[in-house]
Amino acid sequence: MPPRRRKATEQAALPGMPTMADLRDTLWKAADKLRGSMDAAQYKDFVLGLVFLKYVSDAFEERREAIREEVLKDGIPESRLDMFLDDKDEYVGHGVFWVPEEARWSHLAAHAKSEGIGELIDRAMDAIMKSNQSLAGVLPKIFNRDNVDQRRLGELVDLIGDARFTGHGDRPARDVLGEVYEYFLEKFARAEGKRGGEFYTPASVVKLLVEMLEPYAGRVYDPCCGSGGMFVQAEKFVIAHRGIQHKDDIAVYGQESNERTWRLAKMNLAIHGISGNLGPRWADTFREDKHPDLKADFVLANPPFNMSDWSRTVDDPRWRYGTPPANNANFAWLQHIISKLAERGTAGVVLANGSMSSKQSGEGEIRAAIVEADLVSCMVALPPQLFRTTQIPACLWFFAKDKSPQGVKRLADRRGEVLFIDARNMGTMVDRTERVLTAEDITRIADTYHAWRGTASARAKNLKYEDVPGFCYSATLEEIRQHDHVLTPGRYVGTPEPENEDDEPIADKIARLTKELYDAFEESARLEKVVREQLERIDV
Amino acid sequence: MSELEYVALREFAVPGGLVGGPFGSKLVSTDYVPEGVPVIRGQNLASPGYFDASEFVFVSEEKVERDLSRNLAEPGDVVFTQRGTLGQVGIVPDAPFPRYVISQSQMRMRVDRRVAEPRYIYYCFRDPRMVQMIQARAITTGVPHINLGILAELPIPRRPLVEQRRIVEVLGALDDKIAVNERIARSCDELRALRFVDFIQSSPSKVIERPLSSFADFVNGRAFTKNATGTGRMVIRIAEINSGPGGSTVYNDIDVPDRHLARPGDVLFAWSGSLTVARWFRPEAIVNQHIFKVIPRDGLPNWLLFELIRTKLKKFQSIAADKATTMGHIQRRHLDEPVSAPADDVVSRLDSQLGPLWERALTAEQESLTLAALRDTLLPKLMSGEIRVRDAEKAVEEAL
Repeated sequence: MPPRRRKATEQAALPGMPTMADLRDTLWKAADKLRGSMDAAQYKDFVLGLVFLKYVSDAFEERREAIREEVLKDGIPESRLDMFLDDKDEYVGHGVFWVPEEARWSHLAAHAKSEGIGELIDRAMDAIMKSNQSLAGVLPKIFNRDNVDQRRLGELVDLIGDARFTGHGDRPARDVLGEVYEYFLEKFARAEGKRGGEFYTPASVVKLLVEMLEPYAGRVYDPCCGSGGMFVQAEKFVIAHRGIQHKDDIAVYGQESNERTWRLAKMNLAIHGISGNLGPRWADTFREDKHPDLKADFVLANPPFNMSDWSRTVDDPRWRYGTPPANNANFAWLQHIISKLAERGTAGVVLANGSMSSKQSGEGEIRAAIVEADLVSCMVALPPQLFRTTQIPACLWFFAKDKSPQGVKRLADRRGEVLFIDARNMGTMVDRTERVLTAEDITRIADTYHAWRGTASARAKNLKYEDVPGFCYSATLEEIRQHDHVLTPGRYVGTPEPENEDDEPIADKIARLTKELYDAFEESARLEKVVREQLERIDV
Repeated sequence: MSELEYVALREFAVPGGLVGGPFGSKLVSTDYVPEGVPVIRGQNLASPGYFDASEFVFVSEEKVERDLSRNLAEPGDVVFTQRGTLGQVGIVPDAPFPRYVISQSQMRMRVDRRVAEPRYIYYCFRDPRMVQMIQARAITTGVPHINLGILAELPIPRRPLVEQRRIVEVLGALDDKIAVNERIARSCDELRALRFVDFIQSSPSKVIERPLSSFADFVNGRAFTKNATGTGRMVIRIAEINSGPGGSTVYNDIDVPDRHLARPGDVLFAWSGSLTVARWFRPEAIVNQHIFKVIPRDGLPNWLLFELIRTKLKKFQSIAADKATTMGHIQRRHLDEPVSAPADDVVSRLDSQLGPLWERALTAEQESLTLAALRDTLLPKLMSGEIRVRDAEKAVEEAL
């Protein structure tokens, strides 16, 4: 085999002005190399734990520098500086974790060689948890175990410690490492394949849910929050539309049953500066609801599809519309979510397509009861292959507790109606196996919904709702009854108008095609001659 | 001629003429814009011709200047697959764009015209032995792929330019004829469909409404891939309708009744999956399950059934797509839905106008099969020097 020359080209791209995206990618590749024989699921805890440690340390140093500047500007003598620099409240009050000396990145870097890096990191994690009540029990202490290759770990620490991943000036640590953390989550979700779906929902789907619900302010809940992607996106939405000063207008509530995923979520929220309530520990939403009295304004969820092994209590008060079957939790999730909605709450849920039409084990009756209670506001059929982790086609359910105009909100009165959107033909393939919804797709779907609902955002854009054959249709409950309460959008939106693509009159088109055909005949005749000539030159 | 000398591909490139695609993160779907510089992706190399220019995505000029200036291709460059379907190759066409960006999964070569013809390099990569060699040298961690280093070292037979051109002219003539045949078949089909729709719309008094199922027998295939012998006739599944025989095609020696055999000109209708209606043009083959052989009644022409099914196809596809399962399909009762068809007394007049278009398309398709077989036989032997091409002047008239 010839020598590999790829290395040189890869590295050659680095100097100059690498973008953040390049850096993340480089970091990922390097980190992935150090993974060795460890499986992705396990390695994830190491890498993300270290990124988090780097984040708290960087954020701490940033704050420390800011305090120093403030103090000196105020004319306070340097001799008293330390008093301010070591005042824990100066940090905590600004949403920054207090990082004891031994947990600071500079300390790790300085002592790594002499003391054994694994032990050092475990101690650092411990120290941070002791100093910050909200992180108690969250951080991984796994770095000094026998199965950890300390040399590789040292290299990984060097890698993540790279100065290019430090916040600076207009890019604070929160932005830089928050991006790195999210990027790694996505990469790990891919590396883990099927199981990755448990903690990661594709970004374009989360974005669509958020754009539909527009969570400007209020309580946001995700009963199966995975690594917390819904919350991060909701927060981004608020900041994008209202500015950073409104970031605390939403309050975040979540629950996650997998211990390791729950830790990831806690760190993810912390790194994005979101103070959420994910319960004191991980727990199964059906067996042990951690937010029993919550009334949420927005619910965003991507429950595991068709979960067949779940903790079911037959007389659970949440089953208002019928007891879900033991072998499928889809309608348990839906009813749990409905039970959490405030008076005017709305919800968006990703679920397997089967939920729209199944009639097994009483699911048809539950669906009918939910529809008849006028809770469903919109159904969206998604294109295939959005989820790298499963081939099962998926849809979105949207609930609205109150479909009336709601007074000053001046919404359209949609009581007794459901909007159906067929988005199966949307999206762009980004590689052979994965599709994403583009920004335009997301806008078109969300605009359609907002126009139908008559929201302030639709009024601002002057959008009017109209049925579009093949894409969207506003159906009455009576029409849905005629379809046996099956909610598949394809049944309602009809077929698109036959495409008269170019409006070219048919006679003109016939004339054009006829000419094209005759030209092809002539070309064919000429080529026939060429082929004869060429074949005759062959010397067998 | 003396023994052929094989030299590394890089010796046929201009200095620095072999480049790869951009870093994954430098070109992502959000960079795509409605117009600008076209991006060459795997699908552009997928067709059997030199290049498939029917579909591009674009990136902005600014994006190219900023991030992608090292990943450009221009007309005449040869483009190779780096990952994906290994062994694919294409030549960047002269029109309509002056420059292109290659995607992450491609590599390109700017050919040194003093020592090689781009099409010669192209045909070297169409040689099945070259494809095997690429697959053998591929890096198989993760998605199998090659890199510039591997590509640069692939062996190419060295010949004088004039000899290269002779080979390219023979193979090129065959490929060009295949391409024009495709155009003929497509034009014939479009024209016939259009004139049929025009007739239905403009002659309401000569149009009748009857169930689709009353015009033909829809004979369902059987599970003929079971216990296949690996020899004999091809078993037609949806893949064979869409793209002809491939690596997974099944052959079976089994004897089957006539109604399960497709011969050139027969209409096949795949009633599950994406639902397709097609004209079979390959040699006699066996129709597998999930596919109807459509046998017209009362001597109706094949093309008429083809058009009748086509008018219902959108409807059928949406019925199939609404099934909750991944594999959508229609049911027999859907064939009983009415279609608009020409009345009995005008069928023969219409047939005399539209039948020849159907026949001509079929002829073009069949001719292309022969041309392709000829090309695939000649190509490796021309490359290896086993057979040679005489100078044009010395060519003698031979009856074919």
